[in-house]
Amino acid sequence: MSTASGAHLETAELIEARDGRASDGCREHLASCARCREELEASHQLRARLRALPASSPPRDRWPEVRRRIAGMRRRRRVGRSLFGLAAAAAVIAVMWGGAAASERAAGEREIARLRAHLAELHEQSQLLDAELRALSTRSTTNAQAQALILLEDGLERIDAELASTAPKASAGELGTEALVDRIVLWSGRLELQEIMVQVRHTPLRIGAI
Amino acid sequence: MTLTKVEERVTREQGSAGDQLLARARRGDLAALETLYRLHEGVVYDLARRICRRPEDAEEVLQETFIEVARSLRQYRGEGSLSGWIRTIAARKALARLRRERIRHADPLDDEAVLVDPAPGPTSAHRRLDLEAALHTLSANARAVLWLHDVEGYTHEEIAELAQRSVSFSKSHLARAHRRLRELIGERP
Repeated sequence: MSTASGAHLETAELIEARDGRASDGCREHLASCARCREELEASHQLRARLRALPASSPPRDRWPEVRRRIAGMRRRRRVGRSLFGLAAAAAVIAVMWGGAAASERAAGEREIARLRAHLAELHEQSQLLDAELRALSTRSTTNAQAQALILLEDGLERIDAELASTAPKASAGELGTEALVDRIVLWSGRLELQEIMVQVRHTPLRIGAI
Repeated sequence: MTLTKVEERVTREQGSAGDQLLARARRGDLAALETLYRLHEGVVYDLARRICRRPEDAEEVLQETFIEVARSLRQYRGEGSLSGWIRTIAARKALARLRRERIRHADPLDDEAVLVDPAPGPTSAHRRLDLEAALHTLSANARAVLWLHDVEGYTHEEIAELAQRSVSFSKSHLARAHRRLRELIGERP
């Protein structure tokens, strides 16, 4: 802005003024400058026109796909919970067999520690594969390889988005059993995709078999 | 019964039905989730379409948004409107998609290109576009900031948080988007 020097307001200042956040200097300038008042009015009009643009609608019904993926998500959770239930039961039995007086809660805590360790292991393996894929990315690829890799990368991105959205700020140490199981399922899927990507990078002639 | 009382009653009943729907959706009732989807698919798709470059990306965002809604609905505490909460999820997902694209393709349409004002002269003198067409000439980031700020009503701080960028990123993109739009639609000399 250069109200002090008598020049006109800048676009950012006009937007601030339009949104009711003008500084004292801007207000004074607007009171005395017809051109800036016109610009301010134009900014109001532009916003009104943007808001009046017709809304677009989805070209097809995506609910069946959403429903399928929600059902898949729940299935994975159920499987994860059953696995966790079995593992927890096994841990309790192991404790009883050894004659130890540890409580069921302690067994659960050990199971959580086991899940955390498993998650860390998956994470580490995934990082190793990331490094390998980065190294392989300099190699030239056939069209078929490139197409397959794009599809696989899309799958990887979806998993990464799910990982980011399920517990974006929590470290593995703060996660409960359910969240740990969810993340183990996701990381296992990520690892599988990465392994296929390495395979695709290495074996261009067998692409059709994957 | 006066009109006001009728209106109050309708609002109360709608609110109560809305609460019931939400409770069912939180319990994982797919029919309730479908109702939520049908109620909000239009606004979510429109928002995603304004931010994403391609219609198919907007469809993906629509899909991912409602999967996230199904997963996170228990975390929605009723602070702010449900529609606002869902639209924020959509905006976050659409912006994340832009970020991923930028990383994957080292997108030439991104930040730097947006921050350069259009060349003066023949371009602005001869091309008078309608607003819709002019919007499409903006970079994805500029269009996203403009839409989120001017239409959806997000603050620069909120946009910065959603886009994982700075407040000045939001402010500068908004100002330049305004200038460019007004030149393209022929409102500036």
